[in-house]
Amino acid sequence: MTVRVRLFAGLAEAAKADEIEIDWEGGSAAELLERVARGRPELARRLAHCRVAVDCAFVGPGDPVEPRGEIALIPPVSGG
Amino acid sequence: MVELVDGPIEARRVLAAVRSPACGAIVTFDGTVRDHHEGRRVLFLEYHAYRPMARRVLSEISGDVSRRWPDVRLAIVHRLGRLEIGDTSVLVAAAAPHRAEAFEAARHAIERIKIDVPIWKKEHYEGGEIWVGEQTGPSVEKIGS
Repeated sequence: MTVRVRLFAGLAEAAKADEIEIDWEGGSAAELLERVARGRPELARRLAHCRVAVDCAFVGPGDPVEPRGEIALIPPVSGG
Repeated sequence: MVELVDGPIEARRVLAAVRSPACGAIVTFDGTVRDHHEGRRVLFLEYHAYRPMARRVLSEISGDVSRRWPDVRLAIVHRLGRLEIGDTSVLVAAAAPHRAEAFEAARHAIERIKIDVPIWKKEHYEGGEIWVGEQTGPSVEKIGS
């Protein structure tokens, strides 16, 4: 199914979008990043530095990401 | 107390939130916008956030501090939007019965903020602009000229 993935900061700027859609049935967070990179190879190097968040909580690279909830890609943060 | 604001941080209000007759020490960390970074002259900054997650992570950090230092009263306020040189981007205030815990808790809070809170600063410098912290390879990517 089609899921929306929210983008931020430099990643959003590079993608020229605040969110993108991908085909996703489920898999690990690392696989999700790979799926995004496959569709948008120009973002691949940035994606390698991103974390995945689901419903406002970080998930680890091996953790499952279901095709529901709010999925976001979090580039290296610089708050504080 | 954890908050995201879009204008100047009111330090007095933040201190008032943690001040307590049981506390003998209040330590504050005031993060201010610097005029230089990695050899670049900084003109101004823009802070952007994934707001619902930033609030959630700030609350988690506050909870983490409460578990480690049960007597500490903590407040964190982070400003978003455009900030000029010298402006305060983040204020952390930790009140405790004694100064040791206050210093430790405040330090712990700001270190965790810098690692985990989904807030990003875009630095506008002489010559261009850059999202701080983002590396796409051996060299830092610049936008603009």
